[in-house]
Amino acid sequence: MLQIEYAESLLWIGITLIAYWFSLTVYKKAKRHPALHPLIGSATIVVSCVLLFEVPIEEYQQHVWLIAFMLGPATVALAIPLFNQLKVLIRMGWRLVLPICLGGVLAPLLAWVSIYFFDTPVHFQMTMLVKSITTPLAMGTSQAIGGIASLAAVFVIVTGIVGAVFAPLVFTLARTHSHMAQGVALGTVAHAVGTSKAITTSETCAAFATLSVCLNGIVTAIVLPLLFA
Amino acid sequence: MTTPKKAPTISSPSIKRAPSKILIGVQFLLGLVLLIGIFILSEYLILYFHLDFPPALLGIGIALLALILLKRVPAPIQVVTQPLLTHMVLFFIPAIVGIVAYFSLIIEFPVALFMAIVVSTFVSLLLTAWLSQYLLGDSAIGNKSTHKKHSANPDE
Repeated sequence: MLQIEYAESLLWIGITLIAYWFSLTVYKKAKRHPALHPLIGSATIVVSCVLLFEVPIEEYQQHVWLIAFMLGPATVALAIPLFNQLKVLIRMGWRLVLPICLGGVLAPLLAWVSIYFFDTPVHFQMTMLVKSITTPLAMGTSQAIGGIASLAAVFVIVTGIVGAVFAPLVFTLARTHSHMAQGVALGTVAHAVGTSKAITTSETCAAFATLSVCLNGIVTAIVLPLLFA
Repeated sequence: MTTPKKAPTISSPSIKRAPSKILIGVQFLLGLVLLIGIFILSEYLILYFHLDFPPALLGIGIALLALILLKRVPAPIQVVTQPLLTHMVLFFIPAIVGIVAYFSLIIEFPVALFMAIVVSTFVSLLLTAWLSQYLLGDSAIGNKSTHKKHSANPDE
């Protein structure tokens, strides 16, 4: 019996890995277009398999616990890009911290206001508050304030994609020529998906985006539980 | 003063010339064990002190503090960071599959979600970009041409 369980777990881990590898290949072939973010493809394939084999979602999640667990250590690794950009942060000081913090307040506030008037459930609204921070922190934070982790992951990814897709238009409208400013906006509002867009602009843009992702994620993850937990 | 003369570089783990594959493998595993150790420690601390925020966040704090004290990124951590952050998307899949349970909730509020995710993201991006340019200066100095190097950025 136990062996069958192990084989089943391995099978689901295999399906997840293949789904990811396939989506990543498509994404790379499409020159990393934000609308083809690998998470969309991977999730579609895995959900289809889960529904096809009529396996309860909880059972699937138990089989692949190892993959889910690795999110924790991978998030801890965010400390490394933050450490590498620490000098920039100290050099720019409040002129950098202020727009990141204001953007970090503005994005969830606007999102919350827009769904508040639609009579949506409270856990829905709480989940929306984390939409602009990086997924691993968003999932943990949403749980801490009474939101839903898996919903948070979806909101966050879609937000990132919207941000990355509309960024060129927005920067033309706002006449944002400075790559530093573009990076801050992308990182603060569109987290790591925005950062992957910033990488295609310039090194400066990517550095400021990385810094904004880390800073906004950390500040939001500390502040929201203090306000709502 | 207003603009950095030299563009800040993104972390690029500079592995010294052709180290043996075995050495990199050992460093990778060591780095992985270190990161997992920091994460488990933070989980334990959060449970022990009944704190209410993501354990990974405490982990980032511990790791950052250690790096500041060390003043450099140790080789094992450097080797493990880039692949881990690049393939972070993989680790979200189990959680995001849970969305199936909330599918009916999502299609119940299409307009609300469109406003909250598409419109508000657009406006926030615009305001943040404008504000950052105002505070950081309008100068295009520091704008450097596109580079191809893939950096240690989380891909999601």
